[in-house]
Amino acid sequence: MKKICILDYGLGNIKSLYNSLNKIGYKPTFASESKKKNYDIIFIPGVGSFSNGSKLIKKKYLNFLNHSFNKGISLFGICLGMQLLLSEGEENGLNKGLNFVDGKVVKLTNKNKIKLPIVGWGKVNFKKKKEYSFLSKYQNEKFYFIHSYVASLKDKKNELSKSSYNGISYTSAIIKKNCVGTQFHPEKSGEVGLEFLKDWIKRL
Amino acid sequence: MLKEYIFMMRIIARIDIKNNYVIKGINLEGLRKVGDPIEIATKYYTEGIDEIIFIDAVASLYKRNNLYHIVDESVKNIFVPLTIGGGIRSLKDIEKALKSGADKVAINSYATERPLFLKEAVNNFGSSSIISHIETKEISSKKWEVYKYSGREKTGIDVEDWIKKVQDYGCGEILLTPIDYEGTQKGFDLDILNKIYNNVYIPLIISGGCGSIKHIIGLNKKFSDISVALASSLHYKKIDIKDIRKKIK
Repeated sequence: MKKICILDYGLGNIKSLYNSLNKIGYKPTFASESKKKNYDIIFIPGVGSFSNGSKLIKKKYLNFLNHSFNKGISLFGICLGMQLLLSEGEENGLNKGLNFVDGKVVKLTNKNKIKLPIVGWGKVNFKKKKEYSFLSKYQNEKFYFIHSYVASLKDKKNELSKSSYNGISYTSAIIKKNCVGTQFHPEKSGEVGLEFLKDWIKRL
Repeated sequence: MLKEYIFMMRIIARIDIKNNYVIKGINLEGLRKVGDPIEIATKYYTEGIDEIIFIDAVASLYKRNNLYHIVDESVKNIFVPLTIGGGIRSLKDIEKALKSGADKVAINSYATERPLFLKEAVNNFGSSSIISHIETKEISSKKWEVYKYSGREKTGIDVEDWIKKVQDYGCGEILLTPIDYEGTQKGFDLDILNKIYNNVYIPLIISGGCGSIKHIIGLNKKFSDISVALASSLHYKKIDIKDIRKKIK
């Protein structure tokens, strides 16, 4: 049985993530209630602002995450959790992120007069990468998004997928070594989302 | 053009609840029992609904929401976004809702009494968790007033002023219920949408009036980024969820 940890730093629907992992056969533990460090994967959920999230997560888990990242433990950020993996974010002033992936979190430009936040179900165009070829089966599936900010990567090779909304194309998943992040919510994307999580954990 | 895209219209099931039963009325009155909320929500999930909204229809009257246990149970088997509304009157209520597994809360009555509550809610929980629920009636030609307590009481607030305010306060979405259309299955209230559309820059969900798939197609043609909350049309099987997805691209 893979050992899964969910980071509880006070933001995000950790219950849904717990339930979805439970549904696919895992028994995740919450980092706040366990000091064990031999996890196979650590999920970083999150809903809210980058400014608030980066403060909370660094206060509680900076050492734990740095240690895990350096040890090669898989880190999986969802939504704000993905954004926190990056170097910095510009929501409510400039704030430093965890800096595991080079890039910045920026507000979607609204010159097309689109409604923000983006809320809805969208396709995710995964880049063809040898190591992640299993993702090709999700090419025509829809995932749930809710966000106003997006990742702007320094190095395009860290881009795992693109999505677009009303003509605006942006990075919807990132990857670097043992770090992965999705702007969409697999735990809220129905049966497809569950399958996606299952596939991701299975190959660890 | 890019091939990848995000659908702008969401098909949402709205499930109004009173004393642990799904109920449905017409113009928010004459409530009839429809069934068990968890069973019904799970059925819609299986059929492919985009989101679910649970509203405690009598909560504001008693000044408390009584749905947390239903959300808590639902989210064990439902993996799409879930909103809880009705009787949300404090930051503690919101925290309780989110902890029970809801992704968002819909706030109506209390916000009309103390508008700044919306701002506090957004500051504490983020825009994406806070939906402004607006119930409204046309009081004179092309003039709408905001109502509270499930359409039982007037607030004296003009709907256009209110829509501006809830957006200024940072709400992530608006759920709009024109009471005169609610439960009637005669179609969506396009008059109010025409009136307000250009001044809404956050996602908008229209609730009330849908009686057939034609109503959804018509709405989507005119306002492609407006989402719909369906109740009667799903409860009484006037519409098939899979059918909607085939017809709305």
